[in-house]
Amino acid sequence: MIATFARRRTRRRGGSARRRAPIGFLLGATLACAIAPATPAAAQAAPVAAAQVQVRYEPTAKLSAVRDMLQRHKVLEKAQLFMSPLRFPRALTIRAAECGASSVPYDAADGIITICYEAIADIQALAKGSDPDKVAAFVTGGVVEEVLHRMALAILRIYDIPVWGREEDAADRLGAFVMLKFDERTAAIAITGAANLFIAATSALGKVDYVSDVSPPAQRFYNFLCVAVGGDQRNFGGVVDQGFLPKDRAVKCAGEYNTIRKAFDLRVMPHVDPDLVVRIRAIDWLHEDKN
Amino acid sequence: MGRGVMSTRTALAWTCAGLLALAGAGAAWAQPTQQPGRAALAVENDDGGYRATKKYADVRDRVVKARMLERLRDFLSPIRLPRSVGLLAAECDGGAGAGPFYLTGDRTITICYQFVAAVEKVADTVIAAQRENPQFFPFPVTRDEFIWGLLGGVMLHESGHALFDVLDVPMFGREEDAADQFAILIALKLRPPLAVAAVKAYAYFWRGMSDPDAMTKDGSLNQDFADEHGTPSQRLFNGLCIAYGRSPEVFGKFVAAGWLPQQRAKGCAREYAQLEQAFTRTVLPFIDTARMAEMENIDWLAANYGPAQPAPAASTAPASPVPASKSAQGPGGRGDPLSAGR
Repeated sequence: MIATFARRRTRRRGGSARRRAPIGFLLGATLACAIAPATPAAAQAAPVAAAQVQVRYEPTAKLSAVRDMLQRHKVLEKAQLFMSPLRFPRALTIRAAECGASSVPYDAADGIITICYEAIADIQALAKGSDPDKVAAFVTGGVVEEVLHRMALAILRIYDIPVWGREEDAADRLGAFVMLKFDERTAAIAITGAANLFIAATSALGKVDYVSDVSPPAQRFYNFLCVAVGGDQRNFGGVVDQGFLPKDRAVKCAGEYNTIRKAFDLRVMPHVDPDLVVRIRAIDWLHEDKN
Repeated sequence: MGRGVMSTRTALAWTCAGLLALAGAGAAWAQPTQQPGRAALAVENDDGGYRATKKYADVRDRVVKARMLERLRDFLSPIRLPRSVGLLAAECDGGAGAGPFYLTGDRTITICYQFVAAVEKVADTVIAAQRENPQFFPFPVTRDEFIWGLLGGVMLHESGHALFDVLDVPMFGREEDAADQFAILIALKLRPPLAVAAVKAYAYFWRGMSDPDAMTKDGSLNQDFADEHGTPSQRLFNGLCIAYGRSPEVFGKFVAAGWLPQQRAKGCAREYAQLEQAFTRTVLPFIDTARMAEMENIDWLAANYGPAQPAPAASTAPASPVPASKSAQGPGGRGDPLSAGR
């Protein structure tokens, strides 16, 4: 499946025309299959304890609907489970909270990773402009991106990892790299959601913020696609064939992915319990909250 | 300019070497600094690394006289490379827009003659703009400072790619940004006048380039954002942020003049600290620090470049850069003269 991203088996005549990404293009047929029945594997994978990581949903009056949605889908619990193979030097808390902003930095003093309700509300707002049938997948992917991004920034700090390049880009690349470790259906939802989020944000913002240490969403869009294509040509090669990722960038994506993989192996893997990774990868993440 | 694949986009930054001395440069020739038992950067073949060219013969003559490659080789000689890296100057494929590049498989840095020619033209634009509107520029710059500050920075950028490759440096962020960071970080370790020359050449270069729009007229994403390099403004702000983060007392001029907005400037001390830490953890262990200290105190802008020698005042050199001149002030609210004609 993964219709949009999958490399086309049949070449179009006349070669692949350079095609650009209109708003919502990736929502196409991609995720019609996303919300499928839970697989038996979901029930078989026993959740792993994550004693080092606590979660909490903080009260909010203004954004209670966002809070309810996150709780209903057990978003923080999934993040907690996902982080369980990591050995941390300290106790951590993942909290969802009303921040008064779309993000707050990792709190190194108290070990607190914050997911802001405002960021999730922004994702929901951006998703409203898309096909009604695809809103759920857009939001799911967008939330996964946001949570992984916040986790990645924290992990870079917690393990005192040397970062060359811009830290926010590093978190994106790490997040995209990790997304590809999910099963292909979940990976497609996550990558597609992130990509759609960045396209919609580019359109909504109108102008580009070149000053910020956070890259503009247009760049983040291509960075995500590049990691995806570099790491899984079979499932994501279609974005190149269809002209969404220019070929002069695409030819470098396998190298970019390999660079991230090497950095991950060298600087993150020493903190990972490989047996727990196996158990985590066996989970059907899309349906974990239904079990 | 890039790693592995030539890019038509112009390169980056500035510094190190003031491989000045376009005209002069005669006498003492730098002796090979490679030590037995370790690999090094090396100019290649019996042409000394300067490939023949008809179209850019004049440019070739200038860089040969300036001993451009030899200065870079000597400057980076304190690094203990596990594998050797070649240095070349050549007329590159890709026409007039070809930029310098590092080729991963060959482990060779190539500086394109046509890029040198392009930098010389940009220098003329900058100098003309400065003559017209000197208060726009936070620091005054000479033509030679601009040319060799920029070319030095470009060579350091490509050297960054080479080091990331042969030292297996873990790379979580974007490598093109990292190569810019490497170039600026090294420049900031030089004697204060050289550090300032490097940063201003870098800043004036990128300030004159225009950024892409986010969307095209038909409502599609602008594929310029797919480039693995940052946009000109991003590279400008990234570079100034590192410089300001290291030495706010010097590079605060760029903040005061609005070249580096406050919203970014407030986080620059942390950005610099993160970069310094990455350098310390991943590159510094390969460096002979005693020799590096010598390199940091050499006058790389000297017209006559000979074998590397410590500067007489090395032990008293200040740790942080200081302005080359105190005469220049902020832009005074006028338009951007660097944008004209570029």
